[in-house]
Amino acid sequence: MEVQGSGSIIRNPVFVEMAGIMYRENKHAIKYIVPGVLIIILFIYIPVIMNFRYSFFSWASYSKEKRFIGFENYIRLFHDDVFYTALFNNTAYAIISVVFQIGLSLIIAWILEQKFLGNASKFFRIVFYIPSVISMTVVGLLWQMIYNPNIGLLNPLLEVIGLRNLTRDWLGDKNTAIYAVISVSQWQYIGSTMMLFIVAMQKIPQELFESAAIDGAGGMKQFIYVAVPQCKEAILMNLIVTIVNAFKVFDEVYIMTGGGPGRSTEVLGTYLYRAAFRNNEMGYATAISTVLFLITFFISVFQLQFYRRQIGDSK
Amino acid sequence: MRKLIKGKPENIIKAGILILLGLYALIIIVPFLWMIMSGLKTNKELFLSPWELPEKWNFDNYLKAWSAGIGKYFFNSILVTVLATLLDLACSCSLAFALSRYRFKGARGLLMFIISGLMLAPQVGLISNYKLLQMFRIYDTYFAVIIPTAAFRIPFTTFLIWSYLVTMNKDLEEAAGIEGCKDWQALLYILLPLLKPILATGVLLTAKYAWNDFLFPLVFTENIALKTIPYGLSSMQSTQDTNWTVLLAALTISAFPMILMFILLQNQFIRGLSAGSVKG
Amino acid sequence: MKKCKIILILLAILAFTGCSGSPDTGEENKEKQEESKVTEQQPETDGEKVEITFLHKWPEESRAEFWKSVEEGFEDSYPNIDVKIEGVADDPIKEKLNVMLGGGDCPDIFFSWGGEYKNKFIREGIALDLTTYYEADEGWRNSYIEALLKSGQFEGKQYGTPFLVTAKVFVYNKEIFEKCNVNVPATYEEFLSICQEIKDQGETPIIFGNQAPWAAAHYITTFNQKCVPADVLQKDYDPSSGEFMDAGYVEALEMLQALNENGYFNEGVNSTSSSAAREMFWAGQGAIIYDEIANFQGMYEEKMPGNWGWFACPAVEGAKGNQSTITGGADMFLVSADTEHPEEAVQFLKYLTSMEVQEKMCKELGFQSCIKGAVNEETSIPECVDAMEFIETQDGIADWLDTAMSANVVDIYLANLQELLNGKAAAEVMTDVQAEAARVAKDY
Repeated sequence: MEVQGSGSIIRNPVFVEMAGIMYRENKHAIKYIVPGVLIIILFIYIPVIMNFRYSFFSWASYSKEKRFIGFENYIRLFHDDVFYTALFNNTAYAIISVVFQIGLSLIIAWILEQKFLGNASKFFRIVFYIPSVISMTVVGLLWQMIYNPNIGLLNPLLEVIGLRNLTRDWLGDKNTAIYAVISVSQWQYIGSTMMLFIVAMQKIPQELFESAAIDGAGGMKQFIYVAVPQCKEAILMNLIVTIVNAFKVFDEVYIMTGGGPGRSTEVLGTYLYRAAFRNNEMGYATAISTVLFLITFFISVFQLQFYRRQIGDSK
Repeated sequence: MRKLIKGKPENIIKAGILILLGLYALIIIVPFLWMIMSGLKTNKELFLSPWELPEKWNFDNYLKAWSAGIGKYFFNSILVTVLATLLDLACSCSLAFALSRYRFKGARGLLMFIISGLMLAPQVGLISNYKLLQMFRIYDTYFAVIIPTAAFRIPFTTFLIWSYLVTMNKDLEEAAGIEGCKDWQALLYILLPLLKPILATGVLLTAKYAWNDFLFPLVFTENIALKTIPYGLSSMQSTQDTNWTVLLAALTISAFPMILMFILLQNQFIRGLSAGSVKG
Repeated sequence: MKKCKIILILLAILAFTGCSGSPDTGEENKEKQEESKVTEQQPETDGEKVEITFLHKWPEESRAEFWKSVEEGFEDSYPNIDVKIEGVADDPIKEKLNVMLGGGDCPDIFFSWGGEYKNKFIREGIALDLTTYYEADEGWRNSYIEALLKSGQFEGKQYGTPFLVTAKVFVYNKEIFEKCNVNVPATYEEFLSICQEIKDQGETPIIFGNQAPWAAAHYITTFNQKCVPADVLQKDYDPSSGEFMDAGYVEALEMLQALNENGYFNEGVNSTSSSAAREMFWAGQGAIIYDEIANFQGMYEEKMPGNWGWFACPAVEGAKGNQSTITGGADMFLVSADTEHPEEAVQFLKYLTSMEVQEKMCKELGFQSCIKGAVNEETSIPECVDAMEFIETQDGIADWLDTAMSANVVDIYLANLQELLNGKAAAEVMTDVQAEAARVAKDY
């Protein structure tokens, strides 16, 4: 990986010295730093901290003043069934996404790297990747129609292939709705991680496979013992990003079900949006975002480790 | 055919794999075809015979979709995408430049500080951001979408450019330095041209994010005249007299630029993936 | 590492000052706003145009022409006022109003439903009391149908300016009714039996789209009216005293559930949107749909001329509620308490509710006016005239469930209605509603 290489270079003292040679007047650096850092602080960091503070108040967006209520928002949250539904749904989202966007897409990436596919490989790669460049809104609205039992494609298709008893109101039945939504996410993003894995696999030295082949390893074994370990970093990184994204999910659910039927497809993102802008309980909504923050923060710490390793210890 | 069946078991496996891949490709292509085809039907046809080809090809659904607002949303999307991308790249470029070309105390800490922004989901600060934007009196303007969108992209883009910069050969710059080039001149005239490939990647990833983003335009703008395509589509669906076939046409129209861009610039896309190891 | 810490501390300080300062800056902002108000007002005295903003909820393409003509017509008569008209669709406007009112960018005139929905704005001090304006103009006041004007009042004062009235009735497909040999029912019992008959003949009796669950709420508004005594309803819908303990609430839910479980609805009610449901009805995929009279002229007459009729939800024998109310309400406009131009805003409202515009509205949009005599043979199709006459014979109009009570209770109630259609027991639904109503009443 290009980036990976940089770690070793920056650790090289000669390089560090060289970088220093060029622009000695460090006071100039400040003008390049200020705009970017200011924007980040203002729009990323301060809101998060303000968010903590807001979560101790009861207030509506049009309230003239906020009422301090201590931990009451949090206490209510931990007694709220919908909160647990949302947590469950996010977790299901994460698990299923890992299975498909890491497990399955690794396998597909491996298959597409096989030589016997020839030019077909390129075709499949493009086709599989296309859904992930399109906005979730388009994909969500499209699938909403496909799932619809009256006009959609899915139920008639199931009937044609003899699975009539599987037909149902996919998004309208609380037992299937969340999985129907999650499936759409997989449909959209398998291609995306697949492409990342392909890129990682192409960087594996061919000799490794050759020597494995000499040792009598077949395709399956080469995949398990060579490809997967060699893509470890890419796998780890995507694992984290996929899990974090599963907890950040909003568009898909908001577009396709709005959290319904009932509250069965509510996720943290939509629940906080509903609390804030539908029910106008801003304090409660900020308490939900604090929980969302804690979850994504702790998972992301690992992601940060990954970047930290690339930045390297220049000592 | 005979070869396949009678051949080695390996060939049967290969054929099976091809069939599975083909099926998966169908699962992806068929919905798009259905979308394009249904966009050419009348509402009644869509409801009565969702599977059949339209009797008459209603191309004016596409015209209607365009004039029903997609045209306006399209313009907004382009404006927001272009400006957010420019802002992101300008900030990130300067940051990466300063961090890789100057040596000052706390540089590494600053880099970590910037990259840590990746840990914070846009949803977490949603409400505070909404309040902040009101405080700055830019709520419900284009900037209310452009600036936060750029802000959330800066950590990643900075890292992307920084990692490219630190591995780059510095001979040219040094020569410029000896000739008495000012630092900003070095950045503008010498570094930027060299950075082209990674900038292209940054542009693509940020543009894709800004073009597809739904949440920020939803919350940070009110005026329908400022909304971008994703919101526009969902609002088309929520009016009382939703014209479904026109909506399908609108979906097709708004998916098209991204698909086209991807097919034309696939190599850049893939390089972006490779450089960041992140799905943008 | 040390540097990291310094930065973190710096950040914390920045953020701390940023946030502890925020309430003050809020006030500062306000002062600034007021300052800017003063500066903004100055040029007006020089005869410059006054701009007022207006938010409605009918942005549909087919209705754009009407709003354009209102804008132009008004600006022709009042050249010094520039009115900016914006429309946001029915479901999103609920969020929009919250957000907008919170943003301090409240339009001068904005749409509201009646009932608790409107009361909440009034209690928060967001709506302007228009009583003096109405008292000053007897002609304007008396042009209204008295009962409808009242729906804009709160504690005896006039806040809302009703714009149109609508009500929910069953619309049926005449062809299918003839084919199945059934007639308009007189009792709820008969209604159920014709549904069964239609189903037996292989047609879908009722088309129902409950993706946005206000659709089920409209059924429940009606059924609650029929099953729960009026005084109990009034007490429960008030956020300060809601209990929802009456057995009638459960009966009402069970009536809806029965329609679903007997297979009288189409497939996929929870994932079908209300507009998709209409589309299905127009395509002849079902015999009956529960819809508003406001859509008679613009939608049903347009899409299936001569092939539709209507009937009100028939009386439920033996139920304890009032059998002669109709579900519906007056859609109205409120003036923002913060408006800089109350005079001009009222001017616009008067124009909007003038006979000329109201007749135009009846004619072009097919809505029903709150102004006496605006719905007539000239402006409306006979079905609308009949419906208006029918409304006036009723004991009252029951506000939509989703606007009649506090937003929190509505939220729980409506989400539960979808689950009810998924098979959740009616009694359990009411347990949830009772708990939320108790919480709201306690905080009130």
